[in-house]
Amino acid sequence: MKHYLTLHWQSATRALMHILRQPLASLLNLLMLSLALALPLSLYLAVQSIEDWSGKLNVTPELTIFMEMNSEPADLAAVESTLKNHPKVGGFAFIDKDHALEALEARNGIAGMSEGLDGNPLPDAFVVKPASLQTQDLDLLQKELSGLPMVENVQFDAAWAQRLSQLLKLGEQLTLFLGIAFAVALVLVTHNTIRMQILARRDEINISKLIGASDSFIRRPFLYHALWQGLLSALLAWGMASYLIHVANPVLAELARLYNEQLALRSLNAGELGLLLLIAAFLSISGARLATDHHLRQAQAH
Amino acid sequence: MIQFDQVSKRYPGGFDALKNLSFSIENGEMVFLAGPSGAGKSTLLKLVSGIERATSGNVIVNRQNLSQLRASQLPYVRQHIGIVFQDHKLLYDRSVFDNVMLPLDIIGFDRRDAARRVRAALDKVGLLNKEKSMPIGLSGGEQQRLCIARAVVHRPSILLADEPSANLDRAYALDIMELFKSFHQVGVTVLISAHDETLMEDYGRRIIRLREGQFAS
Ligand SMILES: Nc1ncnc2c1ncn2[C@@H]1O[C@H](COP(=O)(O)OP(=O)(O)O)[C@@H](O)[C@H]1O
Ligand SMILES: [Mg+2]
Repeated sequence: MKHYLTLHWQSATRALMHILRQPLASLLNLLMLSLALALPLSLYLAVQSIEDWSGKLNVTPELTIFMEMNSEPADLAAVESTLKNHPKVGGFAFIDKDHALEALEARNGIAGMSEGLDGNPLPDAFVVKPASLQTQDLDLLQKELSGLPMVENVQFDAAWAQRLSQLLKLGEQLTLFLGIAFAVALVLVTHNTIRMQILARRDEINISKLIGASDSFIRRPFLYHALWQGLLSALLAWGMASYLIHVANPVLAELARLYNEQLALRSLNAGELGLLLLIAAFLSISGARLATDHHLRQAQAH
Repeated sequence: MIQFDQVSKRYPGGFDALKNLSFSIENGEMVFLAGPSGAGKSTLLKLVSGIERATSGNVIVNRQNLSQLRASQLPYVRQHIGIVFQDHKLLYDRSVFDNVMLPLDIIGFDRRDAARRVRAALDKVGLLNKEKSMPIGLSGGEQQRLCIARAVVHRPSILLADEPSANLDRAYALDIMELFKSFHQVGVTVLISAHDETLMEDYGRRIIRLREGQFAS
């Protein structure tokens, strides 16, 4: 067992030395790989940060039903009973037009505003809290309520919050898509790097096999090379994303201040960093494994 | 022990390089393999080391039947054999020292013990002062010695040499033969092929003569 670990330790350190001994070629490779990782990573962090922020905003979208000016108490009662029994309605409040006017006057500090007007210009209204915040449910509810008799129109408040959440969902999907695309790229780039290395060391591989090297002996240095490459590029990508956040945050803070908000992008936490390293390691070893297996299978055929 | 039991080898393309051969070589024996070019000497040696596999019959090496062994097990059989290749098969981008280190790396020898072993093997073949040289800078005879050092550094129980004295002048070839004899004297089973029998006859050892894949009498 100890012997086995020693062998692996030797391969690991030798593979790292091999990378360090060709700093320029290695650096170019690492840059390419880490850019591929940094892009989805930055997007992920942006989406996560904005999600965290919007979660704290505490905006619950509301629907306001404005009644026709000439609606009768019976019409109000009909709407009320519909709202009471509707499964998509979480709660509602009736705002009587006289109260609404008083509130408006109080808010604007203009007492007796109505006296200059020809009666109360405000309609009766209901404020409805939807039970579900799903866009489709909200749209459907808005349409249904608009269809009730003597309803003038149904307004959707905090629609922007809804749009933001949709945007974030899009962002999540884009992150996932980019993540997968760049994961495939990582595997392919690693595969190619390792394939080139195998070609460069073909004599050594063939001679080693002739004097008793097992397939796992042949594979080992390449797998470790890929492992280091993957881990280093993940760390580099982490650095790039952190730098991007570091640069973007003051700008975002300035922008958010205009709206009296606080918004800052966060960096990876320890768990996420660990996961990133794990994924990068897995993907690059897979790429190397494909390359070595392909070569060994070809060698077998000869 | 090496045992061939009705062994035939047909290469892809249909050429029969060995035809129904049976013989055995005892542990610690030194045997010569003679025959003209194309007789099947290299093929026979490749069957012993599992580089090629028999088309029919059994090849038994160190009590393992190579014909029944899975391909993935063959490398471990080879780790107990030392091979001096006809075309040397040296790594020309590595130093003399690193070339001899290779078999120990493959076995997974501890690095410090390994360096001592490598120097001992180089000393044995008289190349200790060249350990830092590259193989390309060595003469033909020295390259042959380097091959031998690499073949014995892991102390195999069987040593195979494919025409090790070809292309060497007689004095040098005799030196090489003495080297093999010294391995035989410490208990290694040695099998050496040559197309020229004159060197062998001086040694009074068993000679297996091949012609067109069969024993020649
Ligand atoms: N890989 C191969 N494919 C097809 N034929 C081969 C191969 N290797 C050797 N042979 C043929 O097998 C015969 C025996 O070859 P070999 O064992 O190399 O003989 P020797 O070493 O005695 O000169 C030769 O005729 C050679 O052409
Ligand atoms: Mg030959």
